[in-house]
Amino acid sequence: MNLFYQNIPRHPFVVKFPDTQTLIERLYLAAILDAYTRIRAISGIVGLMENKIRNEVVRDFKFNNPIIKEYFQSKTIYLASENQANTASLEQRTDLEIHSGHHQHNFVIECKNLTHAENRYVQGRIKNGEYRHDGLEKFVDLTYAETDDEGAMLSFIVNGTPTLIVSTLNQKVQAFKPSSDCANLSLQKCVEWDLSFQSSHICTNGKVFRLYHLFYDLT
Amino acid sequence: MDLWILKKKPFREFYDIHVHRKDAQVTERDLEAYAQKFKSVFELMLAEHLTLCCEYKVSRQFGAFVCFRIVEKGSKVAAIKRSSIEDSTVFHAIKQTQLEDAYGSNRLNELPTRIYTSECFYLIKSHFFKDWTVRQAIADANEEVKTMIQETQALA
Repeated sequence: MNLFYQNIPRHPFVVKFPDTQTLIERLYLAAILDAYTRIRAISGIVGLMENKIRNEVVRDFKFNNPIIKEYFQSKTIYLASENQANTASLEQRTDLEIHSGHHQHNFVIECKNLTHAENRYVQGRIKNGEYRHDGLEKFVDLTYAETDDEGAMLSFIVNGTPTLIVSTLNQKVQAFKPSSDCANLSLQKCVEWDLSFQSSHICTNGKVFRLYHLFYDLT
Repeated sequence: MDLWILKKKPFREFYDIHVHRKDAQVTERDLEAYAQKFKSVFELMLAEHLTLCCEYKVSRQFGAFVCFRIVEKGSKVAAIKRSSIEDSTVFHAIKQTQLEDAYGSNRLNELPTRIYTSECFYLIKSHFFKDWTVRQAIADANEEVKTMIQETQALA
């Protein structure tokens, strides 16, 4: 027994993020929302492709984000963007992955550019005679996050009416392989962000997977 | 530009270790910078009601050491200061652990050592600059966070 750590005052915890939900909500999601005003202020951001906007988010996380940048710079938590991600398929690679070794926790974030409540947010489509998985379906069919229990989708709304897009997508998401508490979660925001909701789904291996859906209004 | 600034620090430190300050002894200024970085990294994972206080010293007897205490925020304890702890106190702490090992091997190794008492923990290393760099502080602090989590079983 280490006497030193036994004597630390607990109120009630010694560590800042005592469980993965706290880690996700108070660090990861808070950092995503903190980045919003800086991303939105980038000149010409609305005309950029999805990957370029995602790269701006990565840059913000690593260098400008007061909530999370120190964690990455001190290698307490690791960030991998698409070209560094190690997944089963080289064509289906996660947009962002945040890994906390201390929590033994991995968090995948899928990014999407949206101009309306597109079906590809939820599932794939047939392209050149071949079905291509897309959107949250990648979490449910275990293309992404096979060993994780939570993930997020971060969408960049570059056209249309954001509140309408979010509410329409919320309905579509709730209908896609929902778990028993999906309806309750659909009413919950992510860290009180207006353009957000939550969902949970039953994956192909039977596990329940919780998803945080966040939207940047870049219109 | 941000990326370049971030990469420049490890390059400069590598150059210092291998060229500019090769085999140089650590200074109190180095120890203060080390303690500052260790504190900032460790506190990334420490609960918000707590803070880490550090004392540092270049010992005349055995390398250099830093001593850390975890206290409640608002306690009247200096965050980082030169230590007034006597060498004999640290030596006694070392004796409790290292000398017991030395009886078996008949050899007293000069290795980086972490010693925990009920009040504080010591990190004791050589008096060379290479052991007390800012990069080393980051690695040591992450290692200590791991120990804290294991010892307190703090994660649900």
